[in-house]
Amino acid sequence: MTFEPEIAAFCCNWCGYSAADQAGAAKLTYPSSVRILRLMCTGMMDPYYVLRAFERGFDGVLVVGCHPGSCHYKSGNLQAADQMKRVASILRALGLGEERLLMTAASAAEGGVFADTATAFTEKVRKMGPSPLREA
Amino acid sequence: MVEAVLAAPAVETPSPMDDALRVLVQEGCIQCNKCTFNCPVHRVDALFSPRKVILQAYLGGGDEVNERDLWACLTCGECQAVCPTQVPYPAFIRAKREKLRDSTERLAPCKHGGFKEILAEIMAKPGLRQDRRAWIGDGLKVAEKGDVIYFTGCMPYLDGVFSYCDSAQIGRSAIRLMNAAGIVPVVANAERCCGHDALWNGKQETFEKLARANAKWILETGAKRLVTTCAECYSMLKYEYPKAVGPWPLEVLHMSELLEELVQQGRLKFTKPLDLKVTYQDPCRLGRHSKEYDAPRAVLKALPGVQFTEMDRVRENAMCCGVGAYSNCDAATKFMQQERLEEAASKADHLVTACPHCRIHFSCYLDGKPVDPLPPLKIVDLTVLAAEALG
Repeated sequence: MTFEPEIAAFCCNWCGYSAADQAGAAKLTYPSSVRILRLMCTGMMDPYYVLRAFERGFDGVLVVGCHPGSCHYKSGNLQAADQMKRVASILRALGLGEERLLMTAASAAEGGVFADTATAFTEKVRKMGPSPLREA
Repeated sequence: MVEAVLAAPAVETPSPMDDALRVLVQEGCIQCNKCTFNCPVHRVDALFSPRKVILQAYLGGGDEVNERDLWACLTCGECQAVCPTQVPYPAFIRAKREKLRDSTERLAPCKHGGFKEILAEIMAKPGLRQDRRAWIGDGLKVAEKGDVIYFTGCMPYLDGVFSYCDSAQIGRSAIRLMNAAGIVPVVANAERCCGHDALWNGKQETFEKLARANAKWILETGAKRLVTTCAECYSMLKYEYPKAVGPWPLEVLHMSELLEELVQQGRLKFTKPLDLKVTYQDPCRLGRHSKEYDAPRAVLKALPGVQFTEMDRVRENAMCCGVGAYSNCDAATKFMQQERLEEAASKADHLVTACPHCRIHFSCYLDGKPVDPLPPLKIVDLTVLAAEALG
């Protein structure tokens, strides 16, 4: 059976999620195994969300927020970027590899950017193979 | 069985429906209320009373503890220390938490989103291949095989969340001290979480998985001694692992015990005067749970230029840092921390702990906004302080 990477995509309500919505409205395609979870702001991304996603068997975690400077709550996306940097060190130590986590930005009008990012990230994770934590 | 439980040195943690535990609590409790008077949570939160919890649990007929009381308990063991009949209240709470957790998927109420609990769950996965030694850095000697293991526990992961505390510094200091005494410790990649939080938050199964995984590599190294800088790891490896994994031919030492021994043997000499006024916080897992009060004090007294003053509430009566197993942090915690830090600041300018988690909890309080302004006070780990005195 071919390996289909499961990606958890945490998207903020104002940009990332709207971008995904726009991608859908424009009938752009991206892998169906990208599971979108909406947050009000990526600023609420807790290290725990990322770890929990991996613990539950996801192969990659994508965080999509607003572009720097355009956060609906002023600086939530910058806080998230800071948090994700630190989580990356945890993922490295856990042997998962920090490449399995990607923090990026897509504005509400950038459906294409969202679809491209989701596709490229899925391909990258596919090359890395299944998460070692999925091993029974 | 009852005698065996009473004779054991650590705070006991029998399984949920253990009859011995039931007898100890139900028939042992004489409702004298000493536990409640001494409980650090009760002093702030008057509605929380261990005596009442026991009374309700057994007179209510349902044998249940409500969730609020279940998670408000710090499991610090102060109630058991003052109890005239030695009712193992922390063990009782642990058993009830296990019962609750068996029936629900919800995490323990951790203010860090269950970070440590999820970490423990991840570490219990068989497929895990860690790369956890990046913090060691250059100039420190570690080995793959040897007589002494340095067990780091979750320390390499703490800096990813608790940014106000350089926890890896404790590990580097420990290795530096051991190297200075001619010991090259084993620091293994195969190491996993000790399972302390899993056990005390009622996830017995996760604890056992972690204990078996750790026991496997520990026994394979053939080491004779295991050293840890964490009071939680110490209480687990020394008292809980033999119960969970069977024969345990290792001598488990806290770093303070090793340092005391090395100083006595003359293998380690502290030469750099530090010129500090310090006081010492007894971590509950090292103190009340493991009855180790003297080694850290002996180390502090061996450091040149360190003026050591005791706080008022020490040893069996030491006040908790406010959080047990990361499952309680609320207004009560903050008031306890304020009170304890005021007490420390009145005696010294450095508060020394022997547990990285006490250090995190106190530092968190100082990093945030204290309820009332505090005199300048620094929280330091015993191991870090000792390494500084090496010169």
